[in-house]
Amino acid sequence: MNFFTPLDASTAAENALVPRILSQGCVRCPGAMALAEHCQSLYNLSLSRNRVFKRGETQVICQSAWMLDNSMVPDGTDVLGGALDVLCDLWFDPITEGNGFSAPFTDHAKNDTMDGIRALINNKNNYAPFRCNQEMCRRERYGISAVGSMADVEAASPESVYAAYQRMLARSRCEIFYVGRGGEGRVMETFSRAFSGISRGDILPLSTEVVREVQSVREVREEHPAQQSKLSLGFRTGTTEADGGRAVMLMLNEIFGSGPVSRLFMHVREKLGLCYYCSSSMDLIKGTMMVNCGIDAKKKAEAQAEILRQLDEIRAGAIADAELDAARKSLRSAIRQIYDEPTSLEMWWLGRMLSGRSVSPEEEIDHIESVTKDDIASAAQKILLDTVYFMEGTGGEVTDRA
Amino acid sequence: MRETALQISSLLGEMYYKIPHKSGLDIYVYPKDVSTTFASIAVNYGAADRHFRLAGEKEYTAIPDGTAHFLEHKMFEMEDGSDAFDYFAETGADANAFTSSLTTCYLFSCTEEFEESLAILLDMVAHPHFTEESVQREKEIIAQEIKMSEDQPSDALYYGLMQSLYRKNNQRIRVAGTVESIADITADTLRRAHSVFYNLHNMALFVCGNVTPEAVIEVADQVLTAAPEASFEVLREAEPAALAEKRFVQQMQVSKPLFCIGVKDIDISENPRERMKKQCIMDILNDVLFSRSSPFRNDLYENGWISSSMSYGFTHCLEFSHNVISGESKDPETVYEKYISYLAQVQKDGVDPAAFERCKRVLYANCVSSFDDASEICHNMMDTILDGEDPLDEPQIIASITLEDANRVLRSLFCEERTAMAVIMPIQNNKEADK
Repeated sequence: MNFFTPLDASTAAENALVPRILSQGCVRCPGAMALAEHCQSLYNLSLSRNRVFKRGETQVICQSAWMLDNSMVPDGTDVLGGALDVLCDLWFDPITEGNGFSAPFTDHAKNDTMDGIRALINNKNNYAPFRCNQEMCRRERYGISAVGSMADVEAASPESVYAAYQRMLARSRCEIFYVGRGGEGRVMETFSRAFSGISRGDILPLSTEVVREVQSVREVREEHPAQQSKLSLGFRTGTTEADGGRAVMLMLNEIFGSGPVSRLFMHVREKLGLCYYCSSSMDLIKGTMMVNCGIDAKKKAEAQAEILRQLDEIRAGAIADAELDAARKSLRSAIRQIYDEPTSLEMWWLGRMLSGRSVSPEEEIDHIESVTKDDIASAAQKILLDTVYFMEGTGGEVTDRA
Repeated sequence: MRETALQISSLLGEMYYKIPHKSGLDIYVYPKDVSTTFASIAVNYGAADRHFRLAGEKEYTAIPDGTAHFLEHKMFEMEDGSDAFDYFAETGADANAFTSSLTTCYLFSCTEEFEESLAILLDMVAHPHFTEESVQREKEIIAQEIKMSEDQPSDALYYGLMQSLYRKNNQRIRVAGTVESIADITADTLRRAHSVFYNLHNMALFVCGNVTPEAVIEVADQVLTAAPEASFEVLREAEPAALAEKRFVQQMQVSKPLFCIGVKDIDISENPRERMKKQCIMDILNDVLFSRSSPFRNDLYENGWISSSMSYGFTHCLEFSHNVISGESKDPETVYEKYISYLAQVQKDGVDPAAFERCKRVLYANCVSSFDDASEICHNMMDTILDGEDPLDEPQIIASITLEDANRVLRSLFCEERTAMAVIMPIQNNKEADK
């Protein structure tokens, strides 16, 4: 069950707290232990508790449940029925106090979220791109974290999160996915009934601001006590999925910086030996691209120059036929693999719903076949470097044995 | 004559073929109707293999730490000087490799041109090619990999615990070695390691997906030549029951202290089926003791001693065995004390029968789900078959486990004398401390 809601500083933290609170218990299973016991009895019904992310400037609040198919249950337990009951109980019959959620549940959810925000620093591979994005989009809604800011989480109350929950049910676009061997009729019927008690108002409109110009490149440098330095380059791509540019951008990303035959891997890692990892990724709704690598502090200029040089070559159309073929084959394979994994299939369609372009995996493969070198070069010409984030490692570790 | 054997699980409705190939390589083919086909070839050679001797030799030869992992990187270099990734790119396969303490594994997934990709994989592992220059250049890349890993608090925590639990067992050793240890590696070191360990009798191939055994055999027939019997042994020192150290503490840039409590298991059966059974018993017990339904976990969380996420797991194979829980806490020593007293109490009271039945269901469901995905099936086959077991036996073994089994293992495994803790503390800011 996915709620699409505008990513906004005034609501992000409270929206993101909703699933954290609801997944702790409901009237029928009034606490984490009782709920966990019930889920274990249902052959390990697994519930997400904080599946919250952003795509473009849309905040997506998910509640997922993974379960064993009824045909594989040895004793006739109706796992699907049990799972639907649990989801409806959690989301439509939560524990409330006055006009708010349970105060202890709210405190737990806030503490867990704040722990998560603080712990971002623990993993530098993720922290550097997070900071780069935050700096690049500091004046856009995209710069807001999917779980909101520390201060907003701290300020949330049982009442304010409950109001966010009611607003979400009444006014957020909601997309429900079911992937399984059968039973979709039961799923449709269950959620139709559950939502029949909710009066749905005007649905909150979703939009994403796409920045296509850069005045000047911004450099941000921070020091951290680590052996390895991290370089993150943030770019504006100028092309989005809504522009119809998905296939060409996937090809560009594949050739430039995704996987072991990409330019970044072959040149920055293999030829120059500057790093163990160097790769690019894109948000095709926002129109941004990020390049991330881990390097020695003194190699920063060399790594940055090589990354930009490879992009320049693609801009100039210096793309070999073999590169083009390899990118097509790799994407074709990656797209076909989507059918083997329920969550991949869900994420595929969720992405298309957010972009407003209903393209099936097979149709996407056709689009990819038709992308030319010129298409890729033209798209690359629109890409602009916006922000250079450098986390300089200052080394040092302290070990103490008792 | 060695013949193809069909392994079947009537409980799961799953099956695979075991093919002892004439080259000496054991091949396992698991036909499955999915889009993606997955293949992996495993070499019985990992970071723990630090000394070997050939038949007839008296002395063991030492290999620099990190050699197995270094070799894994360099096996992608092809005889014509190109990179195996270029060949895989032509077939559209997504290739990768990894090294663990006991195994080196090369793998790919694909949705087309499977036979061509398999030929590349087999050719690549059978034919090493490296130059001194490329080995030197690889050192810079691996040095960055090592530094990245050393900056990861989760890795520091894991190795800190291994170095506390084990005195002799090579679980203590970082898979990639250290920047210092890999400095000694040359093209000759790698050639020697390849000639000793990359013997087809010391390897196994696992394939899962839309394939037939015949197709796999045909490629193997074309690419592989028969290998002589492997004739080497690796040095393994006996692990004493006692811990190396009770605590490991390191300061790193983390938001809150991280802890990892482990107990060394000294009761490892020679019988693979017994090992699989013990693994299943412990998987059930761990859920009883440490999942969100456990009173212990709930009490720690409700009272603010631990953060929401806590992980746990039992690792059990012929060479080593330990059980671990890890999480985040403002006060790891308090968590440790509560853990010790909780286990003493449960050992006295015995496992709650209702919790046991619930958690048995969890394990059954996890086992069934693990046969959904081709890559997971390959990894499972690799882990279980290389340890002498059969992955399809698992559902029957789970069904046979009783409450008495759980209580027996609970009372024999957990023991404070063999329990250690690794902790990563936030860096103490001296200026703050002076205030």
